[in-house]
Amino acid sequence: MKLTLSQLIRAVALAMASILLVFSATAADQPAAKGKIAVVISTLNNPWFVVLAETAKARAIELGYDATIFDSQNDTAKEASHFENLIAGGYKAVLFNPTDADGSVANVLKAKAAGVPVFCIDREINSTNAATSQMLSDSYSGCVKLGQYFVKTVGKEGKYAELLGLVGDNNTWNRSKGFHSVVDRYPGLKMVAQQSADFDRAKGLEVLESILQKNPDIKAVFCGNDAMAMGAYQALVSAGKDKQVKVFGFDGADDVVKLIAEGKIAATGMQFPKVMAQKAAEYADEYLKGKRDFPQKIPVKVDLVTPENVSKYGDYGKKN
Amino acid sequence: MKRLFPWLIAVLVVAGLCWAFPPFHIRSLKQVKADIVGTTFNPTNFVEQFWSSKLQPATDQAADAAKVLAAIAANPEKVGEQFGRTVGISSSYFLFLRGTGRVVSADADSIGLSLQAQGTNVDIAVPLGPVFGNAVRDGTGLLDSSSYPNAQEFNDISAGLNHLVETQVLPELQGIAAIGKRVRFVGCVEVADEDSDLKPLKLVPISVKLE
Repeated sequence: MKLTLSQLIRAVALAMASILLVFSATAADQPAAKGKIAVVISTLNNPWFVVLAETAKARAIELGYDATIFDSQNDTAKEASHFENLIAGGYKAVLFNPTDADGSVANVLKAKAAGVPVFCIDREINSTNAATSQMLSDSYSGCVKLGQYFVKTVGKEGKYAELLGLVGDNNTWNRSKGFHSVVDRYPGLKMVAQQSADFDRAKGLEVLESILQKNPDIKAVFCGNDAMAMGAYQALVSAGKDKQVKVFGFDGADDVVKLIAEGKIAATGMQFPKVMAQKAAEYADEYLKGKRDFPQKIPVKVDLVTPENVSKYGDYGKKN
Repeated sequence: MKRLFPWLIAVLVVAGLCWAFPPFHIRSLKQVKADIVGTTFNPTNFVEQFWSSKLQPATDQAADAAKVLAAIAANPEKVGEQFGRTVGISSSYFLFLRGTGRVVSADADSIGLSLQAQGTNVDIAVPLGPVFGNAVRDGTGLLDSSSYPNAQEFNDISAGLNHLVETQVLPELQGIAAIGKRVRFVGCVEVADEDSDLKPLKLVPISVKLE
């Protein structure tokens, strides 16, 4: 049998393509050499948590692991089901953003009992012997600074409202208490409403709309996160009060940082989701390589972002 | 009427079940807050005990303020490395200092101390207003957040320590800080920005005495 040159080239190309196909299929079916890491996040219905999740996943992949994101949708039952699945699925470590400080402890203990280390990111669980380590934004101190800036810009007299986050989450109260540790020292500043909007933008809008109906003369609104601050700002724009009422958020979300630069939102606390997520993935890697002595809690400093220093911040962190 | 009867029974059964096993509970934010903070930890007792039995005896461990000021003059960027304490992941650091200074300025907002024999510049400023932040809690290294299951407890300690500074130490300083007097001090400093926080150092005092 004689082959023409073009037939020969075609045959070689076909053989090479087949070999490549077989190799790539095998590679896709096999987990990365180091195993699988789970990234369990309280909710992906907030860009800040998406950044947290994606950064943790990307760093785990860089370190040689397969990584999967699980969205708990702020539901402890869903979170519990994720933990059962990931333990059964042979995941080697969990990078975990809990839904509830108390309610999530049992899930972490279950993973620990199965030999799967858990590294908490951003949100705390109320236990010091469940997670391997907890990397937590220092929300209280960040909100002390926000409170000081609030008094400086709003003044020592006037009415204001507060939008709280999820009432079962420690961050909600750490932020609220940090803020009030300053603002409550000024008796002229009167809080006329304090309501939960569950860290949610749409609820932030709804809750502030209802507060404005009863209290049209507020001078400021302090929001426990930036998603609620964005919702509150939208409510103020709709009511034509965005120039009258100063909005304070917390997180350092990109949309809020941009609005601070435009003079539309007064301030936020910059948490560093990328730093926390990367460190948590690195800690998991160190654990899987044999390290065991991790500090139980690692506070991560929060920076105050205002129109005066906003140019130094963006992309969920400090610019280099 | 006969048709309605089974519905009436069903409604009554559902109502009875809801009464016996309520599907949800309405609780006030105050109640939720109290539950989260917990009842076992008493920050006031803890802070008072810590203040007298741990913090005051530890003042010998504080760095010599004169040496820290010399280091600031020589190379401000090295001060944190030489004398500072960083908590967690942070660009800030804390200093735990002791020394003797001469009162060179005193007004309603602040007391200024110079550590130079004949100096008139304020090397250490002691703000007299409300005390905020974690300089005392985190400046000495005597307390570690890892020992507290709930961050709110750890934050309550900070608020309690600041309260003792405000109610005990600052009034004492105001009582003795006349211009020209020499004051022995121990206290903590937070350095968040080396450009603004080193000259002068802003001290939160935990002990002051007239020399």
